[in-house]
Amino acid sequence: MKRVETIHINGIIFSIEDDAYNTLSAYISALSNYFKNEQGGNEIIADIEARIAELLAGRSGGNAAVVALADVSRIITVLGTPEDIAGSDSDVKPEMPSETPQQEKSSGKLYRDPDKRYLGGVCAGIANRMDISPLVLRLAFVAAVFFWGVSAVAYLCLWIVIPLAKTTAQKLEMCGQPVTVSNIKKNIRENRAVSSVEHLFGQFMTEAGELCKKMFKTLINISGVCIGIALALAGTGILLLAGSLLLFQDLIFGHAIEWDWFSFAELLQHVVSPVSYLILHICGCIIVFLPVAACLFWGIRLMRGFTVKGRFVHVLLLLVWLSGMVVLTLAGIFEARNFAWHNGIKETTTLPSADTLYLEAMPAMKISNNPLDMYYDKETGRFYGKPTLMIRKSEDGKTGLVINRESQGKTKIDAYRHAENIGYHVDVRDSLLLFPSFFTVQPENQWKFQYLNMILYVPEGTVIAANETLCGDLMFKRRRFSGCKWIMTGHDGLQLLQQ
Amino acid sequence: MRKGVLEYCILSVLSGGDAYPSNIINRLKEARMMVVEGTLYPLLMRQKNAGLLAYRWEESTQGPPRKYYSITEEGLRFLAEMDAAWQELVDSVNHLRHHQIIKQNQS
Repeated sequence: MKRVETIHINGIIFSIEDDAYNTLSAYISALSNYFKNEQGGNEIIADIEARIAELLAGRSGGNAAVVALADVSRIITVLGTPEDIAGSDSDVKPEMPSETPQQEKSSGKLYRDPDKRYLGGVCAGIANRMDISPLVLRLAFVAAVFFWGVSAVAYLCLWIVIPLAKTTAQKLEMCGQPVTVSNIKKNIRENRAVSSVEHLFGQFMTEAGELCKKMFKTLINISGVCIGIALALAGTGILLLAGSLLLFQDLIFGHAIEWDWFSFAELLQHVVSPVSYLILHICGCIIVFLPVAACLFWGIRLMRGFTVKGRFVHVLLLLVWLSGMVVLTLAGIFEARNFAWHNGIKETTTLPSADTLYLEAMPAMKISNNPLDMYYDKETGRFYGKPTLMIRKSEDGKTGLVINRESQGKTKIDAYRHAENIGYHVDVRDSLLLFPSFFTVQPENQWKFQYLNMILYVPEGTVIAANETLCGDLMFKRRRFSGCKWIMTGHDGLQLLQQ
Repeated sequence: MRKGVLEYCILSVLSGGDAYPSNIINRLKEARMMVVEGTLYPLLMRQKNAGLLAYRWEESTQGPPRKYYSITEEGLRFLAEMDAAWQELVDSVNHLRHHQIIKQNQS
């Protein structure tokens, strides 16, 4: 049985048997070695390769037939070995590369030497390269094992990294000898002599070494599969979690979600411009689901033992993801500009003095529990916000109510306009003050962090009676009282009265 | 010696028209001038570098594009010189051999 390889010479594809290929590549490297000092040497090799292709294509059967060793031998006879070529014009090139192997001896390529090895041939290979005795290197390696096993790890790494000199051409390269046909012949002859006296220990270590190497490679493959499984699981997990959050939020959280993110998301489309809202959605999907998809894809590839190829696609996906981030950031900055300035209006009302002030908030309104403290009515298109009320001692002995309307805006004037449009009116009926429990924002104003706070100034000794809604909603956020009665004291502010 | 003759032959072949390496090889083989084909390529390269030859790439109907070699003006001049030298050589050799034959006949 022979292995067949596919090569192309001068743009034509040939199937070539393993041994034929080795001979052919040794022949071509011998030629390029011979012509390397010649001006235009590479071009000569290219021309000769073109001729080889032509000769191979001209065989019976054409370029479809598998190239056998006999075909290659015939070609070498027709084209001639470097020695043949040198023989016919030796007066031009008196110095042949094969006559100067000593000068090139030290510049051999680094291969593992299979002929002189004890374990993997690493030491022998390096010794060949450095032109020293392999024994010295071996002793150094063994000595270094006692320093926390440094050399053992290094040896394993080198074993994997350095290729084994398999072909005769590689062995010659390893020893720094030029690849010529006569050297190849010489090497093969020497090799036969060596293998006839091969010792059993070396053979055993060879087998054991290759087995170790195979196991190591399998280990790497297995860990790749493990990483793959982990990635795939992570990807699936995130997908399932996101899906269940969207589909079964009621089941998981019930209706009592502390932070109502879903109504928050709905609110958001009234806070930002429609374009930004769309951008937010698209970029959000890219930023979240692209890595998830990548996890799944790589996971499955690794799990099935494929290496992940197609660098271009990966770079493209990374760029898409990064641009998603950039666009989202830009949209964020753009939207943030609508909130750049702050402004407010202060409105002061003087109230008739009374021993007891009755404060009531109407109606009790369930306001959504979102972080913006706002509520959006789909039917009217209005926003509702929660006002706050503080009660302080008046310094001048008069009763008065200060209403602060505040808002953000693109400009100072814009912010002022938004603040001005906050709808809120306190109904004063003698000693009864009726506070609406929410303020309104007209649809055309959108939500710009409108905010309304009130300060009620009362003289010392005034009794305040407030209803439940006012206490809970306006004065103390999210805390419920059943009827509250206070008195304004001189030093300690409001004090709760016993009922 | 053989190399010089081969160069002369290449120029002669090309003086009869442009050709690509396989053509030249076939012509040289017909004339039994070729030992191994590999000899031709370095010679072509050297003659090209010396300005005696030039080549151009030409698409072929089958397979990859081919290098077509042609002889330059300088190549033609050189060829003429070589022709003269060759003729001289042939004359000299003939003269020697002719005289030898005459001598042999005389003795």
